Amino acid sequence: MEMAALKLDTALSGIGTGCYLCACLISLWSLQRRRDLSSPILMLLFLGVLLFGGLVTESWLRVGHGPFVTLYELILSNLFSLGFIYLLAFWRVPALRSSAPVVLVVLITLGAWLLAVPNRVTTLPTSFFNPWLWVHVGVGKVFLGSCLVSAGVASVLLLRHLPGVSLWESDVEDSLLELLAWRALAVAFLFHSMMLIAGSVWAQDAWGRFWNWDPLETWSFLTWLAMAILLHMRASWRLPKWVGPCGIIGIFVLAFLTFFGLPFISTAAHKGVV
Amino acid sequence: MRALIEKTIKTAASLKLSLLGMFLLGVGALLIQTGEHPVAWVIAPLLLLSVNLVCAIVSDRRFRAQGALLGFHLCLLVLVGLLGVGHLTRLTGTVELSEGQHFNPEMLDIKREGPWHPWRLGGGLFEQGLVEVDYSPESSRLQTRTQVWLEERGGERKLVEVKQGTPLLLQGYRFYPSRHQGFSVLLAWDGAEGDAPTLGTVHFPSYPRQENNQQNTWQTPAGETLDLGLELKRIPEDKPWVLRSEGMEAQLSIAMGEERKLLKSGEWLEVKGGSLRYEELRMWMGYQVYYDPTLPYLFVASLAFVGLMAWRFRQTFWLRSLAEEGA
Repeated sequence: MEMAALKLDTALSGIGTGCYLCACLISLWSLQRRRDLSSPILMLLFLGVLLFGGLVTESWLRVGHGPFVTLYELILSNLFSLGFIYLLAFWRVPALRSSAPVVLVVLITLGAWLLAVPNRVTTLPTSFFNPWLWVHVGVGKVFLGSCLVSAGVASVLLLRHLPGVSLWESDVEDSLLELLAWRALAVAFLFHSMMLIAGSVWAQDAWGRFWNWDPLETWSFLTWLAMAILLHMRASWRLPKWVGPCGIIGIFVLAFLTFFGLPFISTAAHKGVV
Repeated sequence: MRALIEKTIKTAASLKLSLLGMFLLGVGALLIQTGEHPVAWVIAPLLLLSVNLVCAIVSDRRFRAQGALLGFHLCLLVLVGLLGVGHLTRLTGTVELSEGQHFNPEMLDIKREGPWHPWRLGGGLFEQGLVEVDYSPESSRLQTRTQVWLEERGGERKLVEVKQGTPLLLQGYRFYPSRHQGFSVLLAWDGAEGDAPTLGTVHFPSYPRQENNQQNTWQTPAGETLDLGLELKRIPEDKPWVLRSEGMEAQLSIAMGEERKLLKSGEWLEVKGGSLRYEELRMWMGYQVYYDPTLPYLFVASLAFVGLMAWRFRQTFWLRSLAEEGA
């Protein structure tokens, strides 16, 4: 029974990743042909989010706790949350739709990674029995989703100025894309700040201290600091056109590595996943 | 002179200095994370940034005129101030208490005591009650429950159950149930002088983490050091179980030269200078003790920071941008 459930999970993960892959290919094709294919992309994104949402629910019911513990659960929940946040952005803000191929490549990479990660059943550590964990994880997901949207738009700003690349040329002006990228980064910064606050309250209850400079805390603080530096630079100086987008992409890479990379090198109690 | 002061303030308010301060703060954070550098590596950049910010507020009229911008930067200054006060007043330590034992501040193993720490912790605050820890069949620790009897005014006592993740708050000090708990033995010592027997406990290493190392030494009032061991009945691991003293079968082994004597609960043993009775098996509970009076204020200041920053971002990235687009 358990084996059959795991096989079904793998198959559904594959289909979900396939939805994101198809959406990516269609978005590339629509950019190349200068045709508006937003509806099928939106449908595929919706289907992918629905499948990963269903998988999160199924895993939750089967394991008996939320997707907070293993690497499999972490990737799966992010495939849902990142997909959901991008789906909302894609649906509500047509100007950023050209970022779909870039954003979806990140989601497809996560999907392929999920298929290679063992789906183990583990016990929820006692330090996770805390309502602030939910707030910490929830706002963290919004942070990473907003950061992904910002990095996607920033990538388009860089790609459309690459010599010999005309795929991302469109009627949408650079200034509007820049504004969207900064808006998404501002939202990311707010939610990152909330993630640090909620995480501190949780850490105080779970480990009896609100901050301990463990690797995950340190690197999430460095991500926050990098965002603060970039926002200060943007507010005070007229930056060359490439600086802002490069900085935003750099911040996303830093955040991504903090979320998904550190758990492999950290042995601290607060290492994100086990 | 005034011109010189104004120039100095303007220089100290420079954005380049802010960026340098933030960069140094990042470097300091990385150095502290290695565990080999003191917290001064982040205190110095924080002080630099605070001076830079105060100078910016004093020297820049436009800064002061923008409510939300000024507000969330002031929150940052308050946060730095609170962190400083917290650092100077903080006390961290650990304590182990056996069931039936009264807490006494002298039992604290202090890990860190800030120079401004105001000692407010009195004795007789509470008595340790029953300790229970749930374990899964694979011996993964689940919920910890520890009961304490709070001493109230008028001599009344109130029973409170403390769970992991929710501290017991007494006189501003937070008592967090730690991951460490184990067995202890209550011993009665009857000296050769004919005094009334005295009671005391000996704690054994954390259980089940150090299941195979249930050893400790104890020096009798007569000066002899005894090697004590605990022989516990093995807990079957094929089903969920609860760690507690009640119902646990345990014998106390005492090394007597080449041989070991095994005592059951209630049995006496003659040793040099007196006799020893193994009264009963108990549990001891480990607590992390934490004092930092700034915690609630830090929380409020952090929320105010986020709220005011959201307001500022709304002005910058939404309202003003829309106005510019309209223009």
